[in-house]
Amino acid sequence: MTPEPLALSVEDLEERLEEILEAALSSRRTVTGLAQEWASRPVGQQQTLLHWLPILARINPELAFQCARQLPLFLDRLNDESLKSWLGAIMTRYDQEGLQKALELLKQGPQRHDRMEGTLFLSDLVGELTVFVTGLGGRRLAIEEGAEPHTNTETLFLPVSVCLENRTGESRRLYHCLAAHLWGLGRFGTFFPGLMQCLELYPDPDQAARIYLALESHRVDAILTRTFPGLGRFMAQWHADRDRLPDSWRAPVSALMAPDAQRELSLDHLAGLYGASCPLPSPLPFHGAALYRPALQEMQRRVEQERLLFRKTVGEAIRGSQPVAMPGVRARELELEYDLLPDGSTFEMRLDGQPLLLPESFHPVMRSIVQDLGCIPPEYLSAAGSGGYALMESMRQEEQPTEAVARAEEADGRVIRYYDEWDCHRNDYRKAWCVLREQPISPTDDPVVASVLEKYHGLWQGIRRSFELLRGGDLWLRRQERGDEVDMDALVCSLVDRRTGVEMDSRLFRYRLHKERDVATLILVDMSGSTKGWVNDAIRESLVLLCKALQVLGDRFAVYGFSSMTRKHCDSFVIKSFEQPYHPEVERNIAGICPKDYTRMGVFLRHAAYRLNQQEARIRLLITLSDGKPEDYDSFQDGYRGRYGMEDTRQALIEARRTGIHPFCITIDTEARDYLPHLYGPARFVVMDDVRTLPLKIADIYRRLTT
Amino acid sequence: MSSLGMPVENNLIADRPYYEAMGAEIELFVSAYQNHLPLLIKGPTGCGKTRFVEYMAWRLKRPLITVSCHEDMTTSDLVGRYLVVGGETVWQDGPLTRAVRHGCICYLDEIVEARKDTIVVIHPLADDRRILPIEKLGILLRAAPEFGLVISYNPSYQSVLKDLKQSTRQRFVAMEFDYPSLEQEALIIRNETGLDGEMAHLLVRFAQLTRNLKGNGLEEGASTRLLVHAAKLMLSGRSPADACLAAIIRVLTDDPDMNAAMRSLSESIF
Repeated sequence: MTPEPLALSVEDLEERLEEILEAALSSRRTVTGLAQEWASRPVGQQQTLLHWLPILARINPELAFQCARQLPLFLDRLNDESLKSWLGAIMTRYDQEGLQKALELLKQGPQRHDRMEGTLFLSDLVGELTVFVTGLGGRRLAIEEGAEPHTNTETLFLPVSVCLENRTGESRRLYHCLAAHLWGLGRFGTFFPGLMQCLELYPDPDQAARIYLALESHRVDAILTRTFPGLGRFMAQWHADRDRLPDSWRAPVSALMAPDAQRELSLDHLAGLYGASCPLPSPLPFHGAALYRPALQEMQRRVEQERLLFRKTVGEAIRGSQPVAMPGVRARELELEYDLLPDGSTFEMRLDGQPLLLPESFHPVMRSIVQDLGCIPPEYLSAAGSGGYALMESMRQEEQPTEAVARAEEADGRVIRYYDEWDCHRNDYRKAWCVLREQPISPTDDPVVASVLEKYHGLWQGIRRSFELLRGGDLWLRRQERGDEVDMDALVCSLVDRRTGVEMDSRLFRYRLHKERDVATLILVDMSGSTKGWVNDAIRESLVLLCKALQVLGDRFAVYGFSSMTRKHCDSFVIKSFEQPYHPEVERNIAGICPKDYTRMGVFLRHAAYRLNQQEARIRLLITLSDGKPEDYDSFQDGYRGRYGMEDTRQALIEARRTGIHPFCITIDTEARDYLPHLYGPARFVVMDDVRTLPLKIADIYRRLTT
Repeated sequence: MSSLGMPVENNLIADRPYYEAMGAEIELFVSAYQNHLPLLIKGPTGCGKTRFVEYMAWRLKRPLITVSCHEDMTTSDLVGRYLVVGGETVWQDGPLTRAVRHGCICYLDEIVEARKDTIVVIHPLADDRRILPIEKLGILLRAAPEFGLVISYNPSYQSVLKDLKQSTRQRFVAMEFDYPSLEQEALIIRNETGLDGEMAHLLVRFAQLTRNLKGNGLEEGASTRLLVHAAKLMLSGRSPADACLAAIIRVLTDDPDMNAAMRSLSESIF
């Protein structure tokens, strides 16, 4: 048994700390105080400090010094995981925003990393909550962390963590209730464009807003309780205290519980309660903060944007439905009407009595307009002067819904395409966000590739034999009990048997077996900088073996490499296209695979899906060979990494699956088991623990995938 | 030449199938049938297409021959083949030929799953000629006046390659099915299973929440058929949450996040 190490003395600590923090020290700033503080700490904590300090000092000595000062305040209530998470957040903040911001985070302490039993973090639940609020219906909402829970009607800002009576299950329900309540405020009309004017009728609009939102919270809770009885039961625990409501609030709250209560009722009661100047009832845990300005600002922006979008889309639809000779849309007596089905799900528009077809993708915009304004205002339905339904220039370029895929252009033999990117913060696509250039790879001669068959001679013989057995083709199975046609040979034999008194064989048919290998495979190869060295060698060797095996098999296949440096430089390298036969030149292309920049996975998956969908095949398979998480170098906040990169990749995979493609991932990132199930789904990936085994296994993985 | 096969009377539907009309689909079917126009029914899975065809066959008092199409189905599987009986070859009609010969309604379910070379066999049947060429017999079989052809498919999850060709589409009268309204769907659940009205409403409301997730990680929302399954489990004593989990959530997704989110939605309802 290893003896427990002894705690370090002041002197020992001083020596170690001086060594680590040297760059942050001066004649006036020494480690003596720190060493004395840490000497009184248990040995475990000392070891933790000495583990983390060198790591932090390599990033920034000042950051390390300040951490050494702050850590004793928090170390007692942090376990290893929480500490790692907190320090990780500080280091990330330093990378993104510099020392000052990192020190601010350090001073705030590990509030969100202080894991108590029953505490639930938003980061653990954000994926589920996003789907949850999407399921509730209405406008698509994003989920973000916020110091005060509120909604701006586009995003729900939720606390970083909640903790209810040490029960994680209850905390989860609280998150659901909070999300549903904030969703309800937006969905059931609490915020509307004229709200500001209503509040400004009072001397203190903010106080009026607090009363109004408290009233609306009760109305929305009543609707939620009726619609979602499960949530209602949970909320009832707190509403049971309604008896504790101030007397003057009881009657208004009861009235707001009625099924036909609208926000106007809240506004009516606001007048009475404001005048009575009685205290506000204490807010319930799932009610959030009484913030209304973010919602109104966002609504104002959206209403204007959607008005323009509406007029543009309807204008285009009208132009499309008019005979070409007619001069566009004029402010003439076009009668535009619409019907909204009772459940609000579908619109039917008519122009001069004729049905007007609007793209289905536009329906959410129409629903959003109706959600904000209660109807499509009459002015939306009339042409805007001689300019018709022209789109104002003020619409931001990036927000314009462009048909990205239509904007392909060819220059210098390179294909340039624009792809949308999924922004999980907005819960929507950034339109035509990524510029992808497809270009041939520069071929080279490399002994690593040239000697693959020699190196893996025995393995190759096995692969070839097993792949030859899988080759397709029509096969007539003779002498079957059932089949497409009578097997004449079998019938003649059988008749002879009967004549000679031998028992007849009943297997008289032949059956055509379609052993058709109608497979098209696209292999997407990670060429990011992290593949440098033996990872790159292993990938190239594997590709040579796999390509040769696929040639034996007769499956159509293509190989594309990828690397990115910001959204404007996404390079897709053609190593072998579907049209190109397998050829020694392809091996030179494989030899040309070299580490380049980053891994903006989503755009490459979308391009691969586009190429695959051009193939008429029964099975279309997209195999990604990768070595790490999606990541790119970006200037915008947070950039293409972490959740953003993951969610875009996941979305791109969902899009691919929707078109009938089967995505599969082979990775050498040993941490991939944590995130690949979220991206590819269970059993849709293989993690190679040792990259050197990749060439040995890749053909076998492919064989298993397609048989 | 002799012909084998069960009498088509076996395909008559004796008991009235339960079907709740959504609109004028019954009248449209009758008009198309009377005018010898073949019907194409589109709609998401489990929304009642097959039940509707059964109901119409019962109502029109015609035998119904249903074929579930699949990619290994050959023309012989539809039209017929020679069998050997007692040393002689005997022709056996396929389901389509039986329907054409005896004036049944032939329902080709999920037609896009069949191979393109198989689908073309219905072309001369689906236009004004109403004939079925049987190559192996060397005859052109003229359809009985009572013969009706109905095909169906689900447009939402077919791959682009499995779309119906225009030359096939443009022979049909098309109907589009969708999930019923909340009230209607709750009524269907109630009548089909005996689940009480309030619970049936909640079940349909849960289904609507899952349908909001279509295109957001879920290929399809819960179909009416799945709701019927869940209702039956509830009536056998399973709790609503367990019934929804087993009959709906796990059926719809393998994705852990989606599963968790749908469970939260189900907890919100029940």
